[in-house]
Amino acid sequence: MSELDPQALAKLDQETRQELSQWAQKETEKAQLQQNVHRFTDMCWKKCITEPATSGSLTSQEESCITNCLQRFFDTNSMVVQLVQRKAL
Amino acid sequence: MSAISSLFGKQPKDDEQTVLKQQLQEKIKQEFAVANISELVNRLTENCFNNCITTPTGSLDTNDQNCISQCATKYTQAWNIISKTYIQLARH
Repeated sequence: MSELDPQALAKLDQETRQELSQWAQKETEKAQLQQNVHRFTDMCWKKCITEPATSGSLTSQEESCITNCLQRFFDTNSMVVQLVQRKAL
Repeated sequence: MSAISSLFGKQPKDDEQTVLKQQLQEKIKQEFAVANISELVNRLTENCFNNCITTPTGSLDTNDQNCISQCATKYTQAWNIISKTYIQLARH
């Protein structure tokens, strides 16, 4: 990986800086999305995969457990949001 | 020069700026990719270690190795399911 010359970076004009900043913001959002996928995979794996792996693919039960896990997590999240809005907490 | 050309909309970027911008974008993309892959390696290692190595012995035996390799494939599969489902849910 080649290093960028910091002095060259100082030469970036205003317009290019702005384009880069908008681009970087989009990349950061993508990275955050991926970070969530890592978090949810970890969480649902722990809930759904209880037996040591004996084959190289998920069983149909494990597969539906993982899908259900994420959907119920989102349900839980919206329920908590509603509770907070109703000041029920 | 810029005052006149700005009357006609976007002026073509000079090469140095374009090259610099692309270099920077390439560099940043690589950094994100490295962060993403190391996050996967860390979480996969931890989960498959817990899944396969119940009683650590003197070395990884054939059973352990088979389990780890199968677990890794399953974990990647789970990652893809979560990714797909998450994107669907996020649209609604």
